This record gives sequence, structure tokens and C-alpha cells, in this order.
Amino acid sequence: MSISTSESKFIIEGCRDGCRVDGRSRKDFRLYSSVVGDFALSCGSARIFLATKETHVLVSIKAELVVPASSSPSEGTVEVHVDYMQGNNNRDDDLESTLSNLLVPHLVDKKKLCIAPDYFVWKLNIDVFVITSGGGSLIDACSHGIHTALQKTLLPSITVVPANEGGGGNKPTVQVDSDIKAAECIPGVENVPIIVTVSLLKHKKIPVMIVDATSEEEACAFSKVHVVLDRDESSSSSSSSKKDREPMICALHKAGGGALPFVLLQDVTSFVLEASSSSRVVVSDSLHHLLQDNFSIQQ
Amino acid sequence: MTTTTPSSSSLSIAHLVIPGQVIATSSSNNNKSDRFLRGHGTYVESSSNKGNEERLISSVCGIIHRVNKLITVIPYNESIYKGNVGDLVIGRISSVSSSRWTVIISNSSCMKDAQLPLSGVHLPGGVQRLRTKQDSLNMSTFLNIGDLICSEVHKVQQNDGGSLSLHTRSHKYTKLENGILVKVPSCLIARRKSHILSMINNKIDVLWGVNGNIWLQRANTTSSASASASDTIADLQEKMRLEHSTTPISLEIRCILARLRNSIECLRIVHTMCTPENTESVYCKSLQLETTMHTTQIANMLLPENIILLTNEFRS
Amino acid sequence: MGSSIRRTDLLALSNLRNDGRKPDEIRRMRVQLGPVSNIGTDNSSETAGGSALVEMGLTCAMATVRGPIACIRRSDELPTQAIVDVIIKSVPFASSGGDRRITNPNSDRRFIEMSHLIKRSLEATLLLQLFPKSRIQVTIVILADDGGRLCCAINAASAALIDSGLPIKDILCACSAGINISSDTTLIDLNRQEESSSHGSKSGAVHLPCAMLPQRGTLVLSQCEARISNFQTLDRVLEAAMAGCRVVFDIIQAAVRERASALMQLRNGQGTVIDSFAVA
Repeated sequence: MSISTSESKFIIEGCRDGCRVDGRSRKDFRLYSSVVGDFALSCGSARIFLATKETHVLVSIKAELVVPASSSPSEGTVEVHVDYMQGNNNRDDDLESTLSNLLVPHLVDKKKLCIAPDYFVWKLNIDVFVITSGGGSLIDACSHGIHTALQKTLLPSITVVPANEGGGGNKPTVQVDSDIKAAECIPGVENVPIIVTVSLLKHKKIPVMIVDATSEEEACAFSKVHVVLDRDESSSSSSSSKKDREPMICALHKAGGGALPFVLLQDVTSFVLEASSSSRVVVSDSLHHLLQDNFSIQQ
Repeated sequence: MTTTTPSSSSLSIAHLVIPGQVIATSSSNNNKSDRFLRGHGTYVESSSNKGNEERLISSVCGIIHRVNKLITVIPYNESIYKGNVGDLVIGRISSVSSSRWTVIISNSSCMKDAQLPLSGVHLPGGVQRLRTKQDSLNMSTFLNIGDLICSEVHKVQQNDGGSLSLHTRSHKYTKLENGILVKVPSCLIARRKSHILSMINNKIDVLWGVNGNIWLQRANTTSSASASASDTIADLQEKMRLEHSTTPISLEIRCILARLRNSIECLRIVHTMCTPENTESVYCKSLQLETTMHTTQIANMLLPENIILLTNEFRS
Repeated sequence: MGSSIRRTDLLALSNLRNDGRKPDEIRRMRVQLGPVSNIGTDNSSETAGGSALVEMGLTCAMATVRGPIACIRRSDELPTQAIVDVIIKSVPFASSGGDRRITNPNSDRRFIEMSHLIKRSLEATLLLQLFPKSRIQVTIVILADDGGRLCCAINAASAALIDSGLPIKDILCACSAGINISSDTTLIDLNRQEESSSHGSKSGAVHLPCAMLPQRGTLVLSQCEARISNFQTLDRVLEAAMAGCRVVFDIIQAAVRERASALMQLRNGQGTVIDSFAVA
């Protein structure tokens, strides 16, 4: 989108002064809401949106049993596919490849997706469907959506019948339990990382960093850095005695045009670590539920 | 003539019609005075079975509005902005062609872009003269792509699908700089006498565009030091505009602007009319909450629990 | 398994269909108006004047409407009326099986055919002459497909048109009908299993999608590819499909009325705050 030079000046000065157009400071995130379980045909699904629905993304996760690649016979596969409601013309960042490169290696332990080595592994198809992206920070929203959907994904429980038993010939066969109550979560899914994007604006040659940029702010940014964070929520919920450890950086990707001074990258990472604690997503089964539960907010 | 509604202008839910619903029937044998007049949101069809009967049918979902014999249906979701001559609209320049600018008016892409002809703007200096070839070459120096302008609807071109032609030939209408644009559905903006208002102790000027775009900027301080006696009004204005766009905004004003913007957003989220009165009331409430509870920072106004606190006075 | 009766047999005995419906019963249908934000950034192609999400059983379609907007090419403009553009596509996770073919809406034959059918139906519904030299763009996405996607897509487009406030003659409603050969009864709103069984057999099983303007009682679309033994059968199926359309009409009408009155009340300062979040 194109904005006038005056607007971009106003936005950049606001970011420098720590009072953005919507009153946020540089480190503040907007509130994302998420509704899970919209699609009965998927193993897990989530819809994530801003309060005003200007950024609105659907995520569906479907699992299928496949024969593993001969190079890695005991590893499942994960694939991310992105589609848009209204074409994806004039988009400079390739969302699909960015998400695949940054997130897929850290989503789940692929070894745990194995059922019978050499014969059956799970393949997770993660489909992201972008309805609108007018609120900016699309990639952050997608990662939150994948995060939420994976938490709620249930895989049917499977029993392996070893080879030469039960009439299966010399190949093992599987029995799928169709009972939803027997279905299980994907193991190790608590540590799915999220992406925090830092947009870099330039005010009189001094860089200004902000998180969760609106589309107007993105239009003023000369560069963007995607930081993939593992916030390790499992430690805080399962054992309260264990002290929360620092979030860990899984991946880092500089996107956008401009060039960054080397020292700036360190500032960016420390900025993300400081800011990321305030990022939050409200997860609910449906919006009505959310309102009845008196806005229980997941930190 | 028989209608299903009493002739009143009250907008009650009882008068809700859906597309295809027959509102009124009349037989064409009757004398002319007994017939209804077809307004917006309706269409007329002569009934097939009785031959000489005419039926007025609703074509949108909304409320029946009747003035004497004129029957209109006002759609419930007026995100479509239909221009009226004289409306103040705020739009963004999307292209510059040889003798006119194209302006994006609708914020839900349900309308053609409007045209602002070169003859519809005041030239710098304010002198009245013919537009020369030189002017049309310099058009992008007056208004460039991406610039926001405030203008008035000059004409509605019905033979072109209702596209609008605009003009800015008044000192009120200018390029908009150094402020915040807020977008709401156009149905939340009520038409009023003046659409340019000073708010928050005259610190902020607010332009309420009828198309749903609202512009917030710091109030123009008239204490321009450089005003000399020889200046014409146009010169003075040009100076004021320049001063406004070049003076940086103080943090205090910036916070007021942000709070005001979030007040309007709050109203929009709960689909309440964005009138100046409602906006100011949300604004004051948020200040109150901040001093008493120390919780509502400006950004937190948009959290659901705070939106409810801030707007529940508009709910009976 | 001895004397235990299988579920399918039990359903057949009690004259019910494989998902437990009566022959003249449609699937659970849900209509949600305005799921997509109608405010967007300038020059974005994503914002929609109107939108709707329609679920018929497990089949789910979302439609957005933009317009009247300028035609892409001047040569497309018509001097007397607007043109309608219909884009229909499907997401890779739509199918209920493992079929993950990514279909290109511009080259896939089934989608081209569907978009033509929907375009003709919408042209019959919209009052196009009010917007000369303009274009109305309807985008439909099949989010889940469990049979009857054409009808679900039409219903979604129709609801989105109402939400956008564009003038239409009547609420377009669509429903499919077919025949169960073994019991010779007409069925309405076929699901995927019933659809596929009607495709496979040669003995004259019928699957007939149909769209109509119920308040005017006119038919705008009906399509039957099967061989039908006699006209009486066709009449019966068509009759059943039109009855289904009327049921669909009642559901769309109720959803539209509910949303219209909710929004109207909110604007007048009535209704609760909770409502305002659920609706707006």
C-alpha cells in the first residue's frame, strides 16, 4: 500500500517518541483472538484475528499416514502450505517459503511422528489460509495460528500389527481407532515456537525498532527481522517450582530491502526478548465462550 | 393502494424487510394520485397473474422509510457509501492522470474511485485563472499518489455507476498532513451541520468524512507570527498549512490524538454511532478510568474488557 | 456378527438416510453474515463490502462481494449494466479424504463450470442495470467439501450479496435433490456419499442441484446430468429440490433478519455489550 510522506513521517516520529498511532509503545503487541475447532474435517484448526478482523487467518492441520522417505525411515514429515482469499498479487514476501524455512524445523519432533519405521509415519499438512491481512504482521499471526492449531490437534491412536501376524503378510499393518476419545495430542507440541517480527524504521538515520507493526507502519519500515522464539510454556504450567527460563531463539531471518549494520542485529534480538513477554493470544472454543469466560487471558 | 407499513419515519425493527418482499401493491387502473413512488432499495414489477397490478418489492434488507408516497428501503449495512452532493469526504489519491486525480473514497471497496479534476482545485496562490498546460504537468506537485485529501462531492455521475466527482474549491478543503486517519463503516457517521469540529478543549481538529474516514489533527494555531498585512487570505492559508505540516507534534498532543483514535475504534468495534459527543464521552471515561484505576493506558483501551467498560453507557 | 443389526441396515429399515436424516430433511445449516472485515487499507484487494459463511452439514463455503467497482479493462464495460465476476476456489484441506490436489481455479474444469453456473444465477438475481459500466466481484472459497458444494457456494454468495447491500430481486436459494433407487424415494440436500453413489450407477440415479428465487417462485438454475427414465421422475426430483430451496430460504431469511435487527439495535443504542461483540 502507498501512504503519503507526511503520514510516514508522523508514524516514524510517533514510534521514536514511544507513542504509536494506536497509543502503543514500541514493545506493545495487539491482542489476538483465536477460535479453535471450526473445521470438523481437519485434525486440528484455528482461526486467528485481531479484534477488528483486519488481519484474519485460518489454519488447518490434517494428518495422513504415508510411507517415509528412504533417507529418513523413522521420521515423519511436516509441510506448510499458504493460500490467499484474494490472489496474492503484489506481495513482496513469500509467506509460504518463509514459514516453511523458519518454523517447520522447530514445530514438532519428527521422530515422534513415526509409527512403524520404514512403513508408516505421520505427515502433517499445515494449511494456512489468509482471509485478510490489512492489519499487518501477517507472519506473526500465522505463527500464532499454527501454534494454537497444533496444541489442539488430535491424532487417532494407532496400533501396529507386526509383520506375519494377523494375516498382514510380511509387512506390518496398522489398526486405526476411530474413537475420538482415544485420540492423542501430537507429542512435544507444547514447545511450538512463535515468530516475532521487528520492523525497523529510520528516523534521521537512527533506527527505531517496533514489534507487531500495523500495515501502515510496515509501509514505513525499511527492513524487517523475523525472530523465531521458543518461549517454553510447558515449564511454567507443568511445574511451577521450576523457574521460567529465558525464551530461546530458534531462527532469525532478515527480510525486506534495506541493509542492517551488524551491531543492530544484537539490539534487535535483545529487543525481541524484552518485548516478547507481553505478547498474548486469547484462545477460545468460540467467541461466545470467550465472553462468558470473562476474558480469561492466556499469558 | 395498500402498504404493510404505517406512514411514520420511526426506524423500528418491525419495519424490517428482506429482499424480494412485497412492500405495496396498487392496480394501475386507479387514478394516478393513488400510486406509490419508487425510492432507493425498491423495484417495481407488474404482477403476472392479475395483469394490471403493480407491486413494489424491496431489493435490499433494511427498514422501510416512507415519506408520503415515496417509499424507500434503507439497507441495514450501509458500508456502501452512496455519495450526495455537498458531502465532505476524505480520500486518498490513487493515480494522477493528464487532467485529473483519482481518489479512493470507499473504504470497503464497494464503490468506484472518485475523480478530482484539475479544475476542481485551487491553484497555489489562490488566483483565479485558466488552467494552463504547465499546471497539468505540475499536477503531482500539488497532490501526489498516496496523499490524503479532504474534499466535497461535486457531482454524482449516475450514468457511470454512481461514481463521484469531487472539488476542493474552498479554504476548508486541503491536503491532510500530520495527523491520524481512522476508518469506520460509513453508516456510523451521521450527517450534521458541520463536519469539521474542534474537540478536547479546542486542542484537536476532527474532520468527519461522510464516507467513513475520520481525520484527526492538531488544531491550527492562528497565532502565526509571520502574518504580515500584505498577505492575501490564500497566502495566509498556505503559510498556516505549511507551518502545520512542518511543526513536529509534541508528545502530549500525540497522546491525545492516540486516545481519541482509540475512542473512535472502541465505538466502531461495538457498532455504535461515531458522533463527536459519543467520542468525547468515551475519551473522558478513559481518562477517568486511568486516574482511578491506573490500568487503562491508551493502548489498553482496545482490550475487550475495557471496551465494555468504556462503551456500556451507550447501551440501554 | 450373529443377530446384531448393522447401523446402515437399521437406518434403511426405518427409512432414514445414512446420516440419520429423513428423506426430505436438509443438513444442519448455519449462516453467518459479515465474517470478513469490511474496512481495509486503501488499494487493498482483500476488503469486501459484504461477506458470508454458510455451512450445510460439514460442507462450508465463504463468499465475499466487492462492488460496484471499476472494470479491469475498459472493453469489459457494458453501457447499460454491471458485469458480474465470479471466482470460485477451494482450499487444499477442503476435501474429506486425503485428496490434497491444489486446484487452480483458472484452469480446473469443474471450477470453471461452477463459476459459470453461479455467475448466471447471480446475473438473474442482481439488479445490474443500476450500475452501468461497473463490475461486481464475487469470490467464493470452499472451505470444506462434504457434498453439495455448488449449492453451498450459491447460498454463500447470495447471503454475501445481502450483507453487501447490493440491490437484488430476491434471495437466491439453492438445494440439491436426488433419488434413492432402491426405495425409489426422493432425497434432498445430498451429502458426499449420496452424491457419489448417484454418479457411479447406470440405473438412472439422479443428482440435481437447483437454485430458485423463492418469493417469486422462479427457477434460475437446475442441472441434471443423469439419465432419467421418465418425466414424472424429473418432476418429482425438481419438486423436492424446490421444497429444499424453500427450507434454505427460511434459514437464510432468519439469519438475515437476526443480523439486521441486531446491527440496527446496536446503532440505536440498544442491545447488550456482549451482543455487540458477537455481531459487529
